[in-house]
Amino acid sequence: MSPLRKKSRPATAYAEWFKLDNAAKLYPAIHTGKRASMFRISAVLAEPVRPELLQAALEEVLPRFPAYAVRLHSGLFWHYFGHAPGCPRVLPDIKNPMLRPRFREKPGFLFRVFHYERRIAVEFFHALADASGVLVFLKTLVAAYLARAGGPGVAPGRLPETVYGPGLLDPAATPDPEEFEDAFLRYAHLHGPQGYREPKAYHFASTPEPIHTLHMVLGLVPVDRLLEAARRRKVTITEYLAAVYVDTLLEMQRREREVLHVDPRRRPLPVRLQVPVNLRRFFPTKSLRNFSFFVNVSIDAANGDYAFDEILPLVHHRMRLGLDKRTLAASIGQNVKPERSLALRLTPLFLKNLAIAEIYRRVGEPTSSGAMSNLGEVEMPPELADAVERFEFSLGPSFRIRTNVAMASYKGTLAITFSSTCKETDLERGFLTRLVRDGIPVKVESNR
Amino acid sequence: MSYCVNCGVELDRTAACCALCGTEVCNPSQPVDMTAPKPFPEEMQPPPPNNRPLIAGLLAALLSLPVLVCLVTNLVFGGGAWSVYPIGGIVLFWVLTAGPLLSRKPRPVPLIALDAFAVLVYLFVIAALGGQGLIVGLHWYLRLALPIVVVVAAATLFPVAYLRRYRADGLVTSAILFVDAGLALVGIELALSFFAGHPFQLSWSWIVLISCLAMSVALLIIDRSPHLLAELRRRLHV
Ligand SMILES: [Zn+2]
Repeated sequence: MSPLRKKSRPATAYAEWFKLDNAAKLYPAIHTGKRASMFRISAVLAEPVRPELLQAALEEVLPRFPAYAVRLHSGLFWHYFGHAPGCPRVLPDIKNPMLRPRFREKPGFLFRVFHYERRIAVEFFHALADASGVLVFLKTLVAAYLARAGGPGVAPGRLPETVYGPGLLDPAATPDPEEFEDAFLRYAHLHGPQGYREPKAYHFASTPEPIHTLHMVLGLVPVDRLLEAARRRKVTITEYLAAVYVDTLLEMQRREREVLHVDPRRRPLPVRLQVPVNLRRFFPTKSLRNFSFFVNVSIDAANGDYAFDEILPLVHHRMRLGLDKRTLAASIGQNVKPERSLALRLTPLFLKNLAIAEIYRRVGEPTSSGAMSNLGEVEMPPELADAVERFEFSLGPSFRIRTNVAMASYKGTLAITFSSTCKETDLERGFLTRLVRDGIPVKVESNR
Repeated sequence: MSYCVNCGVELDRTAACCALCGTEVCNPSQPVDMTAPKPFPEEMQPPPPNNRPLIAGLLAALLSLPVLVCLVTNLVFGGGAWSVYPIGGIVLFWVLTAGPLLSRKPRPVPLIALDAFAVLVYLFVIAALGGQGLIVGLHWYLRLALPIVVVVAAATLFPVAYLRRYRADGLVTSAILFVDAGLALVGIELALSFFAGHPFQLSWSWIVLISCLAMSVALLIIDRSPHLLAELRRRLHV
């Protein structure tokens, strides 16, 4: 039991160490010398960012998030987080974001803060937190920055108390122990059905780029037009976009089979999309750490050529089925169970790492064609709303999956970010031109 | 604002070509803005320094110590050129370990070829400097050492090269490895038969080869029939 659970401990003190949460345990095992699971959330402000004020804001905000002021240590049986003193430097942004953290070098923070023109970006190692937790951090950081720098509608100086709430924390308040919680353990239902093996999914053929390259393609889409297109088909925006993604991949597979003259007797592979779900929607917690799961949306290309209007209802219903609260709790239970087995707990860490990496290599990425993560609509308190123009969310490189998609919307604009480690842009182009053909205007920005 | 004529998406005013399809922007009424900041930064963070050459160098420095000791002892106390053997062995060890450390990308095929070549050179040195003179040394070198090393290297190279080029699943890989091992053993026995003076007389390796072939045919049949595979999975699952 981690020291955090002990009631006697004053809540203001830093935790000397704490355990990785249930989902986090995966990430230190699968990172390689070259890549680790990272993601990034950015806020684009109305005015250029002043680095020295951002640094001061970070120094003010970080003590409010002790769960993030940590570095990764290895114990005999498990990894653990230990408090890292100090505060990371704010860095000028780079063209190849989401590099792996330098775990061994001091101070060894597992997140970075960048600035470029009007953009403030935070990048996190996924073991620390999921996007919903990090969004709270970024919003709090942006608020602290705006309190110093001011902006449209914001006068420099102390912000009114009304801006603070559960989504934007008051840096002067003491951290709530519940923010440290591994909520997976609280909500796991351990008597669910056993898991079953998924078949291999389609991965598009591509030319890999050198390891330190990450191409970003940002598509900006008006939410009202998107909502109109989704409502016309009686689905949500996420379902509509997931269907667009699936449709794009199905067509890529069809074209690939034609171009490469694949033996028609060989079955086409299913296209399976991982759509992360924020579990806080179903199971209340203040946890700022990992608490998300995912729903798999899969269409089996071996059934024949699906038209877009045939894909939509399937995606819609599969996502709804996946969002059943009790199924989710049972799935969490499946992940929590191994962590409770004594034999497994007593296995030395390096063996655990090897086993987890091998399982991930076999059934992790091969069974999914890609991930599409929608952070949803980001809200800022009205006092600060005009000073922020846009929020962006992007996923770091995976290992076998070449292109990931993530999105966030703010003030009527959905920012869809494709992050890719290959030369080709077929997925990006296929996805965005589908929106254009459906009457939705798209603006593209990129570092390509 | 400019649009890509090919994709229909609006482009940033700093974009000279479409990020999706590469089509150049050609808009006389709004030329590309070359001065405004780009939407994403241009600076790359260089990859962290590669310290593997350093490790290879460190290894060389560490290994040079026994090399020097051998050389000095040999020079001072005499006793023939015995130090060539340990020194050759140490150099061979360095070549085998430093190869993977110094190559930037995993390139197993040239590395295996290099290793086989280094082993051949070392064996040649032993053969040439051996006690019974060059003729006897060359006899076993050419008839025994050279063919066996070549067969083993070829038997390692072939599946590595093939599997890197064409991805195969576990069953097909095992089938390839079985055939490969059977053929390698036949090659080794052939070399032995030449050395022993009765060429092409195979006594045991063909039995191994036939069992290996049978095994790989069985594996390929299982691989081709999903029913059998499913049945085996069901009966043999752990
Ligand atoms: Zn284009």
